[in-house]
Amino acid sequence: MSKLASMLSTIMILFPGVAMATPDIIRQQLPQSVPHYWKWGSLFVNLQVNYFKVFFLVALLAIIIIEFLHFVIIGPKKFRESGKKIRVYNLFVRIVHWTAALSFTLLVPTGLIIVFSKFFGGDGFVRAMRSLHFIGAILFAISVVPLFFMWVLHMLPEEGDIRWFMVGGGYLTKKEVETGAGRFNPGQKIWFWIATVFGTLLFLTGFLMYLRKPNFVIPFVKYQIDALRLAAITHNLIAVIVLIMFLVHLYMSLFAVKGSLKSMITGYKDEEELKYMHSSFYEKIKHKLNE
Amino acid sequence: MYKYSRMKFYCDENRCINCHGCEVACQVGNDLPVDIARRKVITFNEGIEGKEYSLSISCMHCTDAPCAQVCPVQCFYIREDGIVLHDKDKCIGCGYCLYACPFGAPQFPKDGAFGTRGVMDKCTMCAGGPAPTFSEKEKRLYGQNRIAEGKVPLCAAMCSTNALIVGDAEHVSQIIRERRMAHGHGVLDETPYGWDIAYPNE
Ligand code: HEM
Ligand code: SF4
Ligand code: SF4
Ligand code: SF4
Repeated sequence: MSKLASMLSTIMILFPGVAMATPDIIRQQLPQSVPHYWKWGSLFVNLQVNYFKVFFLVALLAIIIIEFLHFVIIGPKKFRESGKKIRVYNLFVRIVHWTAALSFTLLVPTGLIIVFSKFFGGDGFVRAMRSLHFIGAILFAISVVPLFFMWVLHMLPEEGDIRWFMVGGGYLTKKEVETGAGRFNPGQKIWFWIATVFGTLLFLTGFLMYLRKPNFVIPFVKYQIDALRLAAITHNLIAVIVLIMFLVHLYMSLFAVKGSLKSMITGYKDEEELKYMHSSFYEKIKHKLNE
Repeated sequence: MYKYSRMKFYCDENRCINCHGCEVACQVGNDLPVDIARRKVITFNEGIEGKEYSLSISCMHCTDAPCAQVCPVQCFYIREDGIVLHDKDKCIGCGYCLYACPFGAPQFPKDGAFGTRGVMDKCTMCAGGPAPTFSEKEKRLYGQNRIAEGKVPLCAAMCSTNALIVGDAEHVSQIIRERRMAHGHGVLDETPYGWDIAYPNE
C-alpha cells in the first residue's frame, strides 16, 4: 500500500499538473492558449478541412477496388479437401477473437459515418452511431488484453516469413505454393500489431476526446485544448491505417481463402490448406498427425 | 434593407472588475445547465502586481469561423451581420468545433448516451437559432433572441462598468477610440484582445 502511495507521489512530482487537478483547465489556460492557437489549432483546422475526408475516401475506394480486382482475376484459393481436419484455434481463442472482431466491426463503420456525417445528414442517426462507436471502444478495451497475450509469442518475426513475402503470400497466383509461413503468416502478424498497438492508441485518443474536459494535465503537452486537438489529429490519421488493414483482413478471411472463416468458427483447418498456406507450421506438427 | 456591418464584442480591460456578472446573466437569462459556460471571465497575469487584468470572453463570432469550417455535419450558418449560429438538431456533438476554436467557446453537456458529449452549445450573441423566431423550441435550445427583439445581448446589457460592449464593428471601434483618447493614450494603438485571431483580415 505504501509502495503504491510512493509511486503515485513520484508520478505527481514528475507531472505536477496531475497533483493540481481542477475541473476546467481549458478555461484556466485560455489567456495563454489563445495566442498559441496558430500551432495545433490551425493545423487541426487545415487537416480536417482539406485532408481527413480525402484520406478516408481514397483509402476506402482504393482497397475496395484492389480487392475486387483480386477477386475477379485470381479469385478465392480453394484447396482440395483431404478430409483431415486439424484443430488450430481453441474455444478461448475463438471467443476473444470474435469479441475483438465485433468491436472493430462496430468501430470502423460507425467511425466512417461520423467522418462523413454530412452525407448521412447528422441528427439522431449519427448521434446513435457515436454511441455505438463508444460501445465498440469498450468492447475493444475488454478484448485487446487477452488478444494480445494469447497471440503475442506467435506474432514475432520468424525465418519463414521472408519466403512468404517472396511468393506474395501465395495470394498472387491460382497455383498452390508453399508459402513458408508459420502458425500465422506475416500479413496476419502485421494486422495483429496494427490492431493491438494502433487500436490501443485509438482507444486512448478517443478516450481523451470522450472525457472532453479531462481534469488532469496531459504530460508533455502545454495546453489541454492542444491535447484534445492532438488526440483528434492522431485518432483520424491512425484510423486511416486501421481502416485499410481492417478491410484487407476482412477480405482475406471472408473471400480470399475458402474455409478461412469457417476455421475461426469451428476451430479446425483442413490439412491441405495448412500444407501450403502455413507450410513451416505444418512441417512442425506433421509428425504428430501421423501418429 | 439595412445593410449590417459585422457584429463584434469588445471587453475593455481597463474597466472589467472581474465581477462575473456577465457569466451569471447569460447563464440565468438563457436558462443554461450548470456545466455550460457560454461566457467566461478570465484573469491575465494573475498575481503579478500592476499587470493583472480581467476580460470577459465568449464566442467571438469569427470571420471565416473555423468552427463552421471543420464541422463534419456543416450545421453552422453565418448571418449577414456576422453572427455565427448552428443547428442543434443536426449537430452530433463530435467536439471538432471546440478543437478548431481559438477561444474555447463551444460547450458540451455530458448528456449523450453513456455519458458521451451531448450536442454543442455556444454564445449566440443572444440571437436565438434556426428554430422559428420567438418559438418555444428556439428558447429551449438556443436561449433568448434579444437581437430580434431589438435589445442588447444579456451579458453586455448588465455590465455595470460598460466594459463589455457589443455592436456593429464601426460603432464598437468608435467607442474604443473615444475611450483611449479620453485616457490620453492618443490613437488606437493595439487591437482588442483576440480580434487579430477572430477577424484576421478586417
Ligand atoms: C476506422 C476506424 C475509426 C474511425 C474512422 C474513427 C473515427 C472517430 C471519430 C471521427 C471520432 C470523434 C467523434 C466522437 O468523439 O464521437 C471518434 C471517437 C472515438 N473513437 Fe474512433 N474511430 C475509429 C476507430 C476507433 C477504434 C479502433 C477505437 C478503439 C477503441 C476508437 C475509439 C474511440 C473513442 C473512445 C471515441 C470517443 C467517443 C465519444 O466521445 O463518444 N475508435 N472516432
Ligand atoms: S469564437 Fe470559436 S465558436 Fe465562435 S465563431 Fe470563432 S471559432 Fe466559432
Ligand atoms: S459538435 Fe456539432 S457543431 Fe460542433 S463540429 Fe461537431 S457536429 Fe458540428
Ligand atoms: S451574447 Fe447572449 S449568449 Fe452570448 S454570452 Fe452574452 S448573454 Fe450569453
